[in-house]
Amino acid sequence: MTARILIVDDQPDIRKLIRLTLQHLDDAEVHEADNGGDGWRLAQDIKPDLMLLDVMMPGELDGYQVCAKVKADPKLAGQTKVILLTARAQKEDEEQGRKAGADAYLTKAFSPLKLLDLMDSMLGRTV
Amino acid sequence: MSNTPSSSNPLLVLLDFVASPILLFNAEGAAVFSNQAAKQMSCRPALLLGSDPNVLALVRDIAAGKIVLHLDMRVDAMSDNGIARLQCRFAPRPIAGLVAMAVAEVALEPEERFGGATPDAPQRLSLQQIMELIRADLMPSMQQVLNQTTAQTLPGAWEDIRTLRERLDRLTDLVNVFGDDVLIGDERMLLPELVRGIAQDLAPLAQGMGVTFIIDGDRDDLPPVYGSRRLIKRALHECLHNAIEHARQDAHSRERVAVGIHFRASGQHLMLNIQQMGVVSAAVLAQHAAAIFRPTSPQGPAANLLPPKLQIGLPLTQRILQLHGGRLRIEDDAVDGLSVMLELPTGAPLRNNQHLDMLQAQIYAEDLSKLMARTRQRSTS
Repeated sequence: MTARILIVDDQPDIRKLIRLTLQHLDDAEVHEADNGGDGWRLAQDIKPDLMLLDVMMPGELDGYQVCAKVKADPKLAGQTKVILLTARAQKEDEEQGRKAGADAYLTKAFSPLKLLDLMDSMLGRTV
Repeated sequence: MSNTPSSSNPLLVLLDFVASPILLFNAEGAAVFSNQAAKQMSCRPALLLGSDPNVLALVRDIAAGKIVLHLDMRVDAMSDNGIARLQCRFAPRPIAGLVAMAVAEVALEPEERFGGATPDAPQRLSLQQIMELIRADLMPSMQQVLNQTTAQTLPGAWEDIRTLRERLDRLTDLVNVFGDDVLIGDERMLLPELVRGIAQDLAPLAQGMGVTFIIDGDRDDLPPVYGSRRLIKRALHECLHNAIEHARQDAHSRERVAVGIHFRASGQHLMLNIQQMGVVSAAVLAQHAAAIFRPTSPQGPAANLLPPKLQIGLPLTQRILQLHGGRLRIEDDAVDGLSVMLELPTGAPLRNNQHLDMLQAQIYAEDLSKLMARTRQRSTS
């Protein structure tokens, strides 16, 4: 079954890199947003299976807030897994991600292979 | 691989995305590739470094696996524009058999650039460095007195030193925020939390002057702001301190006065309005009962916590907000009275780098062959 994946990151190069990586994932329909507000609206619209969410984004919502909204939304909470992507590797940042309800926390710079494995396991696929 | 168009090689395409200048050397030490950023450097690093014997020796060692750590070196070389000083960082492992190096040009003093370095010239200090030296010189003695006395044993001296320390911190902040190299950082802050912390710190002064804070609009889902926690705290402290200082104007000594603090999100900005509410009756206070700020811990002495009379709070606050992309507005309305509006952009600052950082590109390059093998395996299974 095709997995619907939403990338939310304000850095175009990171979105491009993730897109390149997702070419190696079977059956993926990839959507993008470049800020938290648009990411949240798109998530409500397309109901993704997986969100790759940058933490630090300009604008009305940052990654933690989008994640908290997704996990508080009854239509998304059960369906959408969230991987937070961040350059902030402190323990308290990870704790903040957990509080927001994130399913996984990946520190930049990340290994594309590790990202694919993580996504496969979250989507219930065998590698 | 060569310095020919790199569009067909994914590794070279990737390195062209990197904002830092990158060179690739082959195992013999010859520079075989410069990314776009390196090509734009006027000192032509591929030419300068490719002929440096130290670089050549290190490249060979890294290619042979004799060095497995990040290695930095500084190279001074003669370019068309005089001496160029290059800071070079080698990647610890070869990528696809090639040794990668990130290069940055280090600024030289004008006399050095043309070969006339004056090593005996006195070192120049910036104003920030001078302030830090003064601070480092005075702080330990002040802290020592504070440690040896308490507010109870020597109340006058204790408060005076506390005030002096506070003024010194304030002056240091003032010099820092007007300096050339202010570091703002990217700490995540929830403004209501900061405001409550500062209201708590200022509670002795506020209570001593009969001022009540009425805080509203501080909802949990207000957007965060990013930047320097210390500087934003400083700006908020200055504003609240100032609000307390001016709250009693036109009020009789026994009347209770209030300062209203109101939060509001507006588009991609967070607004904080600090308003002088003047004399408030018991009925008005009852109406705002839920929003009245009540300090949580026992209060210290209030008598000597008078606001410092240095008139630097306003420019300091304005500058801090400006550095964070925000602004300060002061409005004196005949009906609503005096109010100060702080406006800050929400979320993290916009990142201008359209390029991958070198580490991410390197990790991707290292995974590339495994990714392709994995895809091939999937398509054949």
